[in-house]
Amino acid sequence: MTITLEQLRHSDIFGELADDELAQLVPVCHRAVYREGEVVLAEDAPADWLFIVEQGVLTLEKRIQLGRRGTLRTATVGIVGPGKSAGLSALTPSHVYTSTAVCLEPVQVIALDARTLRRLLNDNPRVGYKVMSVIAGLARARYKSATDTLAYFVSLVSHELRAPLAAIENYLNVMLDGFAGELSDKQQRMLRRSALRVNDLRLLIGDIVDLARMRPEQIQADFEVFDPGEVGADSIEDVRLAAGEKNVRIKIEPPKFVKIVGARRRLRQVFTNLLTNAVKFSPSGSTVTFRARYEPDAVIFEVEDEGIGIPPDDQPHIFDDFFRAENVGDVSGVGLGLSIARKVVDAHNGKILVTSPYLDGKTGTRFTVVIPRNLLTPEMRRSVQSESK
Amino acid sequence: MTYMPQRKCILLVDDDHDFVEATTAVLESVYDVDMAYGGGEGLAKARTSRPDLILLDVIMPDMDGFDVCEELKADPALADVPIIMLTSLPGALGPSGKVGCVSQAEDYLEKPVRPAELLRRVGKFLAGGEQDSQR
Repeated sequence: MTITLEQLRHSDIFGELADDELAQLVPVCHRAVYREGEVVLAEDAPADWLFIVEQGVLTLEKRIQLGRRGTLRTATVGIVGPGKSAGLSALTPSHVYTSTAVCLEPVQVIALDARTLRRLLNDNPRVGYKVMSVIAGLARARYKSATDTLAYFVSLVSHELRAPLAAIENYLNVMLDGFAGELSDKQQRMLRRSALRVNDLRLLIGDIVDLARMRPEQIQADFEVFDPGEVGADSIEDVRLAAGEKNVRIKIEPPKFVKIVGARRRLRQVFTNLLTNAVKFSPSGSTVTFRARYEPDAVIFEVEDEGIGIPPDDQPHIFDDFFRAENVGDVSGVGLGLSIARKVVDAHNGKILVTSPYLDGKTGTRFTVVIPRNLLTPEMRRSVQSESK
Repeated sequence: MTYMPQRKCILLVDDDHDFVEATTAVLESVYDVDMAYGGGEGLAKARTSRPDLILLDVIMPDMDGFDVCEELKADPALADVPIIMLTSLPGALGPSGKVGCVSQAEDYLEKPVRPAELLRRVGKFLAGGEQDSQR
């Protein structure tokens, strides 16, 4: 059956074109039919065709693999129904499909040859401009939809998941601390394990939410004057239960603390993440050391463990999102703790370094965090700015 | 005349009944505890009973903790009652949070709150746990 101008005009991409412009596209079109479950276009394949769906529905799927060792999964990222287009990469560099389109049911499409179409649009700038303007609008709408969904999800997760978890953890802490009566050894152990698992889940949710919205200016807006000793003590308390379960000793070497400027809650997150990793990857009976020292321009914090160490080839990537070293085995985690630590330290104009091994002849890892002492709170910054006027 | 020390009273304002129960179990070991399950109820109880300290949740359906805090601090009879705000949203009460109220609340705590930490932070404002009274 011949493809008509009217059929092309009903598409989202070509709806704005005049008849004479649409007439130029007909020769590069042909009709195709696909069965349910059939793949119409594949992610990473050359974008040789642009498809306009006439009947049926396609799902757009993307491959997702978190980190090097994560399980490969697919996620549905869109739906394409009648009048809508799939394969927009045919018209945008690098001309490689960015998702896979699969038929949810029998599908009939108008397929346009990409090379010929691109040449045609190039040779007819007026038509090309109209089509690319529509594509830009579609891309903007899809981006807005994705960010709206993300913002909604982050907002939902922020409170609706955290609040019940906080309530569960409260009950567990109250029972473990003896405020609800005496517990048998077995009850103690089960409640301790539950508290650990809930704490892990709460921290994971926190990490995922943070990853979605952590920007330096947000962290810097929270700068305040605080005692790093209190933050260090809080971080040690955060891992006390897990360290106790594994019989890992935490040794503290504090200096005489002087107040500094920084994002208190975020730095607690950094130290907790480093201590959590140190405990996770250390054998039973070993020691994790947490020390700090002051230098004229910076405060230096160090977390050392006697654990499995980090392979040299993995060390350059250890702060990447979702990266997990080759030797982590079955140890739980998704690879966000260090990437978040790095983002927080960067927002402080600081440095975070890894040394593994740090002693000859022994395995283990040392993380060093350097926080400058010349940071300003928002109020200090405003005061400096008004004095300089 | 007989000296009879009375325990100090904390008003706990939070719409999460589970959090209220768990937190009350800890606080009752040292203090008398009154509960309110919403911002409006919390304001009403604060005005009638004048507690020694208020633990105030941020996110509540009828009236959020920031608005309750502002009203309490604007009331001359209650302005000097210490308020500790509570939230399960990390950073919600940081320096870049709702500054107007954070600067008036005396302290804040992020949930979940460990019992020892809760008692320590409350104790900063209510040293002794008891107030003297003479009959």
